[in-house]
Amino acid sequence: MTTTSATTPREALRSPMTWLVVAVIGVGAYLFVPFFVSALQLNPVAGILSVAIWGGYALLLWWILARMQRFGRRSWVTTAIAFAWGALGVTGLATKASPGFSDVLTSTFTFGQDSEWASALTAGVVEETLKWAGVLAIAFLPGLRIRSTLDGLYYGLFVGLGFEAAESALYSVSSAAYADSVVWAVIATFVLRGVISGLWSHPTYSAITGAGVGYFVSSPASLARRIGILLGALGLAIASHILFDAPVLEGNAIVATVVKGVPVLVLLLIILRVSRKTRAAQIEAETESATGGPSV
Amino acid sequence: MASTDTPVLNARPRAVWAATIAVAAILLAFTVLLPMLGNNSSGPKLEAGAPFNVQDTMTFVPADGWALTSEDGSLFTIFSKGGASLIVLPAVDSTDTLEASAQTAIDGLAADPATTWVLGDPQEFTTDAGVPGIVVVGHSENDFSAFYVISNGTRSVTLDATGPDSTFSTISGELDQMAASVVILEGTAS
Repeated sequence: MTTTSATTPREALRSPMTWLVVAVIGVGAYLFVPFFVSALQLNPVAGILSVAIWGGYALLLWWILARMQRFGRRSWVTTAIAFAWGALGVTGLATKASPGFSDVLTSTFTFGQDSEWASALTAGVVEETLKWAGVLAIAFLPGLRIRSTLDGLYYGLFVGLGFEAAESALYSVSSAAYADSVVWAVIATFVLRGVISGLWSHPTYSAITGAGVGYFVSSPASLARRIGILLGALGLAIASHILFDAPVLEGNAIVATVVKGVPVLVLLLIILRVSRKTRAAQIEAETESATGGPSV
Repeated sequence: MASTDTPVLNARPRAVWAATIAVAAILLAFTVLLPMLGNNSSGPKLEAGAPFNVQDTMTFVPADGWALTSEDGSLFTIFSKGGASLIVLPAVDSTDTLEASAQTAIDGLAADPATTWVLGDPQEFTTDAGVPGIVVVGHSENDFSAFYVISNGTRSVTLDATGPDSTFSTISGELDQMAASVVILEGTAS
């Protein structure tokens, strides 16, 4: 699947995937930024406060995740690409994809009073697929940035973090436009989306799909098995997202998010543990191969 | 651009082209094909800018892209766009104050057993015709609810919008515009 060669900027510019990634982030920004700017103009205080809170949230998590890395530090440029894909690419493209998917869904199936199911299905399928496409794109950028399941999981986390921060910042400003207390509206949205459901939200789902991408591009297993894991991880993330948004087990926001969210977080931690063991074994094998004997 | 402590590798050009085409196809399917299918399947689109008459009791101007989903006798008319629904009730005789109407909406959402709503404070506005109105917006974890009441003192109109929170940022301006375009007529719903 791979050949060893150095990558120059010229080679990077010759890669079709480089241009696709640039186009997606550019088009996404073109679609998303006007909504944010108009909301900002309507309520500058809410806008500045939202950017400060969600920007700080993203930077804090970025710093924590970067410090938790094992087996060498990953490229900050690739991490920034993953974040931008989520923050601009997915949020922007979702403004077109979500209404389209929802219209098709509601005209094909009858939801009646259960419109929340339509919302849950739309968010799960559209957002997870667009985020998954981002990790897949990063895997095929020049320089092979994803060389293990763990790499895929890591960049998936950042695609999800970018999406969560940008989408939630926009939600905060929109909520504040209809509230007397701007500060309270922004903080309430942050507590609901960042604190109560932050641990098992977008970054968790896209980390699962990212792990699937990492396995697909790095595992020596058969193609059928790798495709199965690639699509299976996407299906798992979509199902987790739909379950989280679905109108079941509701009544108390905190209890509902914990009951629906903790299993997904536990699943991610299991994937993380297995991925780390696999990566450690890979490194061990590579060291043995290079030195002609077991590593110390 | 890759990390410096690991060897730099490249996927084969053929694999890169295949992956690029696959990712582009997925993105185009979601952002071009689905909206086209959605446009053709979500019911008759209303003519943007042309007033829509609801039971000869009120008119309002639908925003671009909204479709008529259901017209249920004298009860209500439902419009939809991108997963969001706008339920428009015919104008009725009412002497309730705007604040009382808003409080009824707030109480209804606060008592919702299914989910927890973060409610904004009622915001007053004036329609293009100079009639006062009030709007209450709530957000649950996944959905929004925007409840508009417009009253000239003797007759009132109610517009109730709900939908996924992901659509709110893109359609809230349209909802405000449609509420502002309401004109209350003297007719009675049949």
